[in-house]
Amino acid sequence: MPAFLRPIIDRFRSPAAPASGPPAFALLMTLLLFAVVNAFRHPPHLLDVLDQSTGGATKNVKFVDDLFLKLTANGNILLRFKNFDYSHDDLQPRATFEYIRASYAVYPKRVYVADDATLIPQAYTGDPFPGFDPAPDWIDQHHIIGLVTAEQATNGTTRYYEIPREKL
Amino acid sequence: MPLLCTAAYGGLMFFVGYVLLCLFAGRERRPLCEVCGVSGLLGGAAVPFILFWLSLVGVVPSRAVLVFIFLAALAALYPLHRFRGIVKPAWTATRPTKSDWLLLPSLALIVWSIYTVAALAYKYPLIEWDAVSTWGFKAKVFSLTPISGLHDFFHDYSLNFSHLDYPLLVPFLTAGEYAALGEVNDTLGKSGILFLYGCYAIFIYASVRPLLPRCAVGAVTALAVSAPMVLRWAGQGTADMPLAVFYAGSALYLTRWIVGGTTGDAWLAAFFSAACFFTKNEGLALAVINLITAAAFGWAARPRPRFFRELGITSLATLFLLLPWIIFRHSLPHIDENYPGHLNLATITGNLNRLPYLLDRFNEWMFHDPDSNYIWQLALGALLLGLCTRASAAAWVLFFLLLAQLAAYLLAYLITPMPLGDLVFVTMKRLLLHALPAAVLIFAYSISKILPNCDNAASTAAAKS
Repeated sequence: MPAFLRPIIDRFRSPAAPASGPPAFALLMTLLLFAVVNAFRHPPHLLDVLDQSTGGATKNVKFVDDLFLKLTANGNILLRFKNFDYSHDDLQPRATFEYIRASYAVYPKRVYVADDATLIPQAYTGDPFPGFDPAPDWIDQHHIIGLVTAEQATNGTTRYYEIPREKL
Repeated sequence: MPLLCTAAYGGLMFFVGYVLLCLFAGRERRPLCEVCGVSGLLGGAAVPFILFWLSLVGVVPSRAVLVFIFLAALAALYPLHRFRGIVKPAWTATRPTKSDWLLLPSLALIVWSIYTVAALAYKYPLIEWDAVSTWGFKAKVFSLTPISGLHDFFHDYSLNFSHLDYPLLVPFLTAGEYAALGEVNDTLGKSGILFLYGCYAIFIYASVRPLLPRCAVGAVTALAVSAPMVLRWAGQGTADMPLAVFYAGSALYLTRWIVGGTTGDAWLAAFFSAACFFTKNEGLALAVINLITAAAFGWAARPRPRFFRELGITSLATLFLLLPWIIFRHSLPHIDENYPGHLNLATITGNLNRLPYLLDRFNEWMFHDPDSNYIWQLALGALLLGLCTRASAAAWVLFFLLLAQLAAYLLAYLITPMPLGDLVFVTMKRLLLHALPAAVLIFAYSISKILPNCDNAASTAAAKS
C-alpha cells in the first residue's frame, strides 16, 4: 500500500471513526451529488431519445393506431410502403415502426406486408419489405379487405390511400 | 378502478413471492425490508411462470386465473407454516444517529426517481421499438389466445420482428396485468415492470443495509435507482429492467451463499437465475455464469460436500422449473438471431478484428458516459481501495460475476450476424444496465471494509463475515 494513502485509509478503518465523521460525510455527499446531478440531467430529454430511435414515429402512435384500427374494422389488410428512401436515416425505422405498431394495434386482425413464409429481416438500414403481389386465392384465404399504401411525399409527410378488395 | 386492479395484481405478486420465500427460507428471520423487496421480486417472476404453464395447457390469463393463483398460494401457506415454518420479518431498527438526516435527500431522490419512471411510463402507450415489437405484441397475443393454440403465430416468419423464440416472462407479466385490468391497455400494462422497479429499490436498500450505516445505504440506493440509464429504460415496457432486477437477486444471494450463507440463499440464487433465463436470451448466459461461479468458488467454501450437494439439488430444481420453456422453445424455428448457432471457433476467430472497436465502445459507455451515475468508476475505485486494505471475499465473487457477464456480452457481439455498429448503438447501454446492480453491490461490499457501520453492531459483524 502506498505510504501516503495509509493515514487516509487508517482514518477510514479506525473503529473509532463514526459514520457521521468528516470522511464518511464527504463520501456520502459526493455520491449524492453524482446521483442528483445525473438524475435531473436526463429525463427532460427522454422523449427526444425515444423519438429518435423510431424515426420520429412516437409522435404518431395514436394516429397510426386509429388509422389502422379503422382500416381493419371489417378484416385484414395488405400494407405497402411507396417512395420511402431507405438510405435516409429516419425512414427505415419509421416504416418498420409503423408496420410493427399497426400490427400490434389491430391484433387479432392482421396487417400483411408479406406471406407467412417470408422473413422480414431485423435490419436497421435498407428496404426490409420484399415486394408482395399475392394470388387471389391467398387474398381470399386471409380475409383481405383492401390494400393500403403508405407513400412518402416529397415534403417529408406520409400519405395513406386504400384500394378496396373489389378493385385489387 | 384500473388503479385498484393494478394494486391487486401487485398484491398478488407480493403474496405469491412471500409464499415462495417461506418455501425457500422457512423459519429464517430476515430483515423486514429484505422480506418486502425479495417477496416482490420473487412474485414478479413466479406469477409469469405460472401463467406460462397454464397457457401451455390452454388457459388464457384472466381475473379468475389470478384469483385461483392467490387461493393456491394461500392454501400452500398453511402446510408451509405447519411443517416448514414461515419467514418472520425481523425489525432491526437501531437508534437514530447524527448522520441519519442524510437519509432525507437520498429518500427524496429515490421517490423522485420512482415518480419520474412512473410518469414517463404512464404518459405514453408503448412507444419504445422493442417494447412494442418483442414484448408488448406477444403480451397482447397471450392475453387473447393460449400458447397451445398459437402454432401458426409462432411459425409466421413475417412476424419475425417480434423475436418469436425469445423468452416469455415479460409478456406474461404484462398479460397478467391485462387480465387484472380486464382489458388490453398498453399504458397501464407497464405496471408490472414498475412494480419490479419499486421492489428493486427496496431490495438494494435491504442488500446493502447489513454492510453500511443507514445514511450510506440511502446514498447507495439512490445511486442505483436514479442512474439515467435506469430512468431511461425502467418504465418503457422492455425486459431490460426485469433482467437487471432478477440478476441483482441472483448475484446477491449467490455471493452470500458462497461466502457462508444459508441453504435459503442457494434456493433464492437458483430461482432468480431461472427467472433471468426466462426473461431474456442474455439470461441464459447469466444463469450459466452463476453456475460456473458457484462451482469455481465452491472449492473454497465451507463444508465442501454440503455446498456441492446444495449446488446439485438447486441446479436440478432450476432445470426442472425451466423444462417446459426449454422444450417449448426447442419446437420453435430459430429464424433470425440464433446466437448459439453462431457460437463456434471459426466465427469467433474470423471476427476478432471487431475486438478493438468493441473494447473502445465498452470503455466509452462505461467510463466516459455519465448515464450510469459513475457507478463503474465508484465500484472499481472502491474495489482497488479494498484491495489496499482488506478486500471483501464477497466483492471478489461479485467482481468475477461482473467480468464474466461483460465477457459473455463481448462474445455475443463478436459472433452476431447483425450489422455490428447498429447493434452496438441500439443495445450496448441496455446490456450495461443488466450489469449495473453487480457494480452497485461491488461498491457496497468494498466500501463496507473502509466505512465502519457504527449504528448497528450486528450489522458490523455481518459485514466482517
